[in-house]
Amino acid sequence: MHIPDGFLNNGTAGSLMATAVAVVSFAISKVRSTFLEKVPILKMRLATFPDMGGGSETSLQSRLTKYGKEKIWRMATIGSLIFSSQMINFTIGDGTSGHLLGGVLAALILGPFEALLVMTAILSVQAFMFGDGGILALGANIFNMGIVGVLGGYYYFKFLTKSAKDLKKVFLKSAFVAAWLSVVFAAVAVSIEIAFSGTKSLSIVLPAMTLTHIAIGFMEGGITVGVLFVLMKKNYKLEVLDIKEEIYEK
Amino acid sequence: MKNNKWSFVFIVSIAIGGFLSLFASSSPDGLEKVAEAQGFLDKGQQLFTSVMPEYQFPAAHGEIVGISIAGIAGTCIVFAILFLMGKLIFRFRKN
Repeated sequence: MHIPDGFLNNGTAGSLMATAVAVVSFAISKVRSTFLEKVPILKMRLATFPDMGGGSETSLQSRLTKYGKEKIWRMATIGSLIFSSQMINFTIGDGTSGHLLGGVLAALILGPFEALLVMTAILSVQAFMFGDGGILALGANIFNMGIVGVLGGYYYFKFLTKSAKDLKKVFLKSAFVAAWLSVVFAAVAVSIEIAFSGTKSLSIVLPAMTLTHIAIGFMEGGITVGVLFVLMKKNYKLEVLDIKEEIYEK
Repeated sequence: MKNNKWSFVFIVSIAIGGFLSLFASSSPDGLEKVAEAQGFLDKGQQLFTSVMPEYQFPAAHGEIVGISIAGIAGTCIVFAILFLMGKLIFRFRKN
């Protein structure tokens, strides 16, 4: 569902670009605060005359934590996994194909804001290197697949598992539903943007896009659950299963 | 080591990009299909020529190798960008 250039008018593409930049910078600052720790370092200063405050003083310096190092590695590997999976188009009948978006998958493995950064990197590489999705429409694509797909998908999952007592029991089921919802809502967002640009009226685009992506969503859900199942079996650390709230407090 | 475990994921994604991508369906995807059926596909335009259009390595366009190379290259580029981004954005920083 990468929107090429030309489907959206400049106003729509521009405002979505601005939204994407704002949300992605927010995500960067959010992620940075979880990756860094502040350590006091001792500084020695020369004693001067007149006295400029010589002696020793401590100042705070930010340092990448072990958690951060491990997380960067994990973001890079999951990013490459999702990029290569997005290349696999599967047929869903009547000459239509779909591919994984991987928003919910990334969000559950990495956490929502890290996943948004991963998705932004993937979409940018696709737009600049492979001509998949337009340059002017990059903001729209980040909005649809990053903000609606990743952040939205993560919060559908959170909503679905809110009242669950044993998260592991409902984990895969909720992941399936969240993945399906993320694709359908991303398709709805695409239709609204196309209609807003005056390319085609909403009453025509919305039903067509939604119906097609209801089918694609089932594949998305299936792949998401499959990958999560394998990772769980192999004891990979999934962010959503052992989320450490205190990391965000630091 | 924990990192080695995740490195395996990277190896798997190289395999997907290089090999499994050969079996990808070439039918238009959801949005393209709708655009085609509703007659606004021709509104799409390419503003500049990308390095590897349509996931094909230009020197081997239309060949199986072309898809493979593009898949592996893309996977490595995404990996490198995310890794460097992590290193650059989250490097040591004095307050």
